[in-house]
Amino acid sequence: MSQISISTLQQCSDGQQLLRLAGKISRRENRWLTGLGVLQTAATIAITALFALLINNAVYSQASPAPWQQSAWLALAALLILRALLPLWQTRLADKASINVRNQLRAVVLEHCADLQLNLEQHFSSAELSNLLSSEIDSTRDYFAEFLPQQRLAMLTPLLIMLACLWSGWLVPLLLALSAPLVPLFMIIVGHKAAEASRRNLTELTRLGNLLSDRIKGISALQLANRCDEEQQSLFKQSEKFRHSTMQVLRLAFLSGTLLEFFSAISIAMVAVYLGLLYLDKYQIGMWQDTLTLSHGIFLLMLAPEFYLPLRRLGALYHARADASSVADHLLKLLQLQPISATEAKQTPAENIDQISLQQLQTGYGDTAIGKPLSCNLKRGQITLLTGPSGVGKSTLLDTLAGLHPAISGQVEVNQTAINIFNNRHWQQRIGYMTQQPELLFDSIRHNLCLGREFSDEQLYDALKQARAAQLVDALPEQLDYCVSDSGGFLSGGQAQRIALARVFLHQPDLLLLDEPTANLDQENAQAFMAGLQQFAANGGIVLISSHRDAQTQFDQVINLSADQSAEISHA
Amino acid sequence: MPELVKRYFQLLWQQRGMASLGLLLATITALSGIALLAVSGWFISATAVAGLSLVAAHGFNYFAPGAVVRGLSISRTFGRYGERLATHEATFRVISHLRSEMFATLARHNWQEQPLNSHEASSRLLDDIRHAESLYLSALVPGLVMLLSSLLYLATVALFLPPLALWLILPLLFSVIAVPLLYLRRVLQPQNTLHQQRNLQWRDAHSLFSNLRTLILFDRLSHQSDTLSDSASIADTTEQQTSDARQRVNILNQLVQAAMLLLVLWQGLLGLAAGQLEGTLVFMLLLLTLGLQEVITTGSSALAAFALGYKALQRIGQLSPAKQQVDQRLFTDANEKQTQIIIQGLEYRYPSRQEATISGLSATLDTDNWYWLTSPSGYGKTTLMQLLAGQLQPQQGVIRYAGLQPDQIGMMPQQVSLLQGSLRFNLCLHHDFSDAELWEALHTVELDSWAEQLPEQLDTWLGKGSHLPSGGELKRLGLARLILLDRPVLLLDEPTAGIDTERSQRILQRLQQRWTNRIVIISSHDIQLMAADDQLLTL
Repeated sequence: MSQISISTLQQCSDGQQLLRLAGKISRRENRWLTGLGVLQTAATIAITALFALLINNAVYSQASPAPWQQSAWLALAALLILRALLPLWQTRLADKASINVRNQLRAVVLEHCADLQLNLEQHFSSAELSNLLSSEIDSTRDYFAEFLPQQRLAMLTPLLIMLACLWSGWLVPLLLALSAPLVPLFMIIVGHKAAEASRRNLTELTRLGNLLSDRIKGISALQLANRCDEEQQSLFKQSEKFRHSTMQVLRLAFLSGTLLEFFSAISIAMVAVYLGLLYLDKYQIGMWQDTLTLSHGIFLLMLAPEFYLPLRRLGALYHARADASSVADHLLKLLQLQPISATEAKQTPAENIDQISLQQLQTGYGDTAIGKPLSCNLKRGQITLLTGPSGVGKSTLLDTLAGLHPAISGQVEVNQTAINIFNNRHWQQRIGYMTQQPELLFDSIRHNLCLGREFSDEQLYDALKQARAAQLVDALPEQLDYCVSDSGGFLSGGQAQRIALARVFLHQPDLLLLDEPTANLDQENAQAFMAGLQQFAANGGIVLISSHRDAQTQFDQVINLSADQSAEISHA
Repeated sequence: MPELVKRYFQLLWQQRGMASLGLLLATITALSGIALLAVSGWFISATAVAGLSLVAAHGFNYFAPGAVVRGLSISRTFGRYGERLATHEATFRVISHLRSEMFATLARHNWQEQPLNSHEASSRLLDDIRHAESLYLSALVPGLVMLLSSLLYLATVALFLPPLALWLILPLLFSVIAVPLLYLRRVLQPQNTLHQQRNLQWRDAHSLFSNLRTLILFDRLSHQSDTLSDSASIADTTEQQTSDARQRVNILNQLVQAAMLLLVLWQGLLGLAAGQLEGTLVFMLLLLTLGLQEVITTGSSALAAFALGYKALQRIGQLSPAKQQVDQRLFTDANEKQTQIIIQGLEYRYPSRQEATISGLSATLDTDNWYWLTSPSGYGKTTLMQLLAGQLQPQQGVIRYAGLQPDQIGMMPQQVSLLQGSLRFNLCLHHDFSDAELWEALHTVELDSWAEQLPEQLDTWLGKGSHLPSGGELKRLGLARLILLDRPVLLLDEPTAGIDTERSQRILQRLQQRWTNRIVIISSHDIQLMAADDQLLTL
């Protein structure tokens, strides 16, 4: 099996090229498929010839059957069975090829996503990526399984049919040969128009999809405003817009199909009329022999539609190619994102972290700085509050300290030793980070807490208690085995956040980074939670909390970030 | 029959003009295709036989068959184009209606007890609903055309060579009835499994990409990637099994058709030898059979396509709630002097919980002052709000609105949803408000300076990637919506979370001045925001 590498795919100039490269993975299967296709055409030609001979013999010499006839019947039956069985092998090979290609594409994309890490978020939404790696890549099945092999057969099969027709005479193959180039010519013209319409259609589809998912998510806002009927109308309008643009594409796509249909029908008509007049001796042209038997007529008439058959099949697969190429464009956009360059050797932080110093640390995305450089110390046993208006870079600072983003300048020191924390596994094992939007997998609470590592139920409940979430888990239908769903099921935003917090406690970090942990808690719970944090700090942990709320006395240090001047730091 | 399937056929009936045109054209196309082959076959056989004698060749009228052949090839071509356009047009129209009607069904229901899975719902209405097109497009049309063509074929054969027709009845019945049934049995099952597995695959992908930070930090990114690859492989295998099953049935069909060809040839030649059949007709019968087989091949998946569309509609139908919710709140005469909310013995228990969240609550609320719910989480603040708004129905007790109507209750939920659209759309939500009104509302919640710095002010598109309001800004947007709606009863669930205390105080003061003579209930964790004459409402 051939392999594709990410670097070759990145160099593709467009989606089409990417598809061609990816198609090469299944080169071997495609070769076999071509072989089987040729075999099938050969069988068709032989079957036609046998039909022609048998009928011819019966019509002209109504004598007793010649001895060769019995073997002709046997051969005919055998060939018919062979032709019926061949598609099974073809399907199996084609499926194997297509699964191969899609598996490798998925692997390459996932590998690249692992390199890109948080850089992904800047360019793609999670829904977009989820669709890309499920329905979009899956939808290229028809392209790799059917379109690619058929593309080669669309050249070979007509050639074989033409050669077979040469057995009788030269005019029919000539007619076929002359009409053949017209087909791709028209199809290119139509296809060009259709591709444009197809892109417009895809835009309409995306719009409709976004509108639907957005309005269903926000259905309660519309219900509260009593305006669901109006929204139904606007959804209907968008749906109708999509119908119009789809019909535009189909009008063109069907046109190319109709064109092939036309050539196929007209070739039968032409061959029939030509042969009829030839039999009636109206003219003598285009045949090798002077007196023409019926067998030639039967042979030519039956083969004429077969000439266009592979092209018609290819035309029917037109949509597969259009779909695949838009998926490929999407893939290419993702693959061409550059990961943040890998950093050199990763230092291991000291066994006991006493102090973390930020030295003129400038955070930001890519080259865009967010906020001002910050210098401060986070000490063992202390809780630090990070505050400031939204957009000033609190979350970015936490992301950076978690080693998820590289700092633009400045450095971080642990116990006076500078350390590169970006993407540093050893560092990340030592911290616990709870983000503003609680991140939970569509899985049981247990799995969400353990994330594939082993913990006893007792440990889990300890962590849940610390996060003020034990009661809430007990009230759920299946307690620890309750499955979190996409819409959260019975979990509210605040509850999901507390589960995420329990996970942070469970893995016993040295440094806790908490983004707005109390935003969804009531006074009582917030106070109990702060008490828990103080316990954690007293046991030798370091805590950094970001919050909108006003500074209160229980913090050891408050860092007030501001957009246009350097941070104010006050100590308790 | 599921409600939605019924509705589908009702809608199809409304499009009956286009739908029957499609069916008619499809029939014409199929018959012209078969006839084109047959007439051409007869024509060359007849000319070949006539060509043997000079006299017969001279007297042969070749104009009529030539014209028929040309006519048939043209009607086949244009019939096909027209058929495709008409059938697609008809079915897409039905789907547009079905989609928006289904949205309306979802919107009539309150989803507080059993949350709606929004991804599932939207993918059903976007993609799954397109499977419904196969009911007409790939089931009814090809199925009917197949049956009709087969009958005509049999009649034609019986006309020329009755014994052959008898021979053909069995294989034809097999192709037209047994094969579609077999197809249905073999293909539908793996197809449904495939559908479920693809859903799981999406779920795994979504888990991966919406948990990036967690997965990176816990070093589980590659683990989750592997989970996704595995679920994709499982689905791929099922996909392969489905196409294998389909192909096996096809092969059986192909074998029967090969047998049919041999039968026609054998019986034809026998008939020729016995003088029952003219020599010119053997080839015609053979081509007639070949033409029919093309039609049968497309028709053999009709039943499976029908079942596929049926199942899809069933799945979509499952989205709509099983039981109808009846609003139990009472609304009494608008002429009453004083507007009041009277709550008596209210009790509510979530379906999954053992204990009641609210029990034995009685209170009378009026316009004299604001009511504050400040009890801790889990004591049913939000539940009470939702009961008052009619989003939940109590198991016991009564909520009576004196002198009020259902559409006079305004609520700001805890989670304010931002809809994709301009700031103007997010404020108006299909109501008509003037710019002045919008700016005034924005000013009240101190969003005016934020809105002014947006590139296109009120017409700026809000949403992920462009201008995403922060948590506090979103809360204030929710308040602005409520100000614009201007209703006599106002329910505010955590309106100040994420807004700093000073600003919250300023905004609430403005609202106190604005919302006089109204019933206002507010739930909050911040007791310090309460004004002097506000009242506590304990649960």
